[in-house]
Amino acid sequence: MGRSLNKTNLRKSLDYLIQLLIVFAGVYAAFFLDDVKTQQRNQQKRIQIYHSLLKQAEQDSIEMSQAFSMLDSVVITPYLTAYEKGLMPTLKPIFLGSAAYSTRTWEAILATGGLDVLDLKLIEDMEAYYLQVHNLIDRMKKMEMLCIQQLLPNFDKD
Amino acid sequence: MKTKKLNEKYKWYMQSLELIQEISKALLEENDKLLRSLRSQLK
Repeated sequence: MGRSLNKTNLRKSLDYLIQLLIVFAGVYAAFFLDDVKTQQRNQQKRIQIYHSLLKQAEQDSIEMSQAFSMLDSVVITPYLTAYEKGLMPTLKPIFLGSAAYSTRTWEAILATGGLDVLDLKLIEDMEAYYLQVHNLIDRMKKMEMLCIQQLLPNFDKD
Repeated sequence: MKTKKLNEKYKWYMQSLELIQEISKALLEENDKLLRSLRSQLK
């Protein structure tokens, strides 16, 4: 009688243990699947961000190329060619036009929590790019202002 | 004297244009570097 009770208890305990293991396995599988889904979502978001940044950089490239090409053909090349020949060419305002860059896409990414899904290398690359471009554009704008405000109005003056 | 000053202004303008040319090249190079980096990371 006692042995039979022990057997029953053991069986019950085993049943509980198996049920417990099943519950654990289920919870673990749910967490695992959730993690896989999160990773997939993050990967999709990362790819979307790369595409947005690429599109913005391509747009900047087109606008900068057009502005520099225009400046080169209208102001720089004619002046330098004439100057090399010893002529006194007309000085024209240095107009940079649309030579600019946009940080809108990057700012939107930062504002919407995009940083959480991005690699550190991309973040460093973007920050370095915007810093460098900002400094270079700033130097150009200063040259433009100096020319328009100082050189051209006082050109014939002593 | 006036001619000398005028020549200096022409020279200054010429140097400014050359500098702007260099800066614009540097800007396009930076942009190109970023484009290449983004494209390679998308592969």
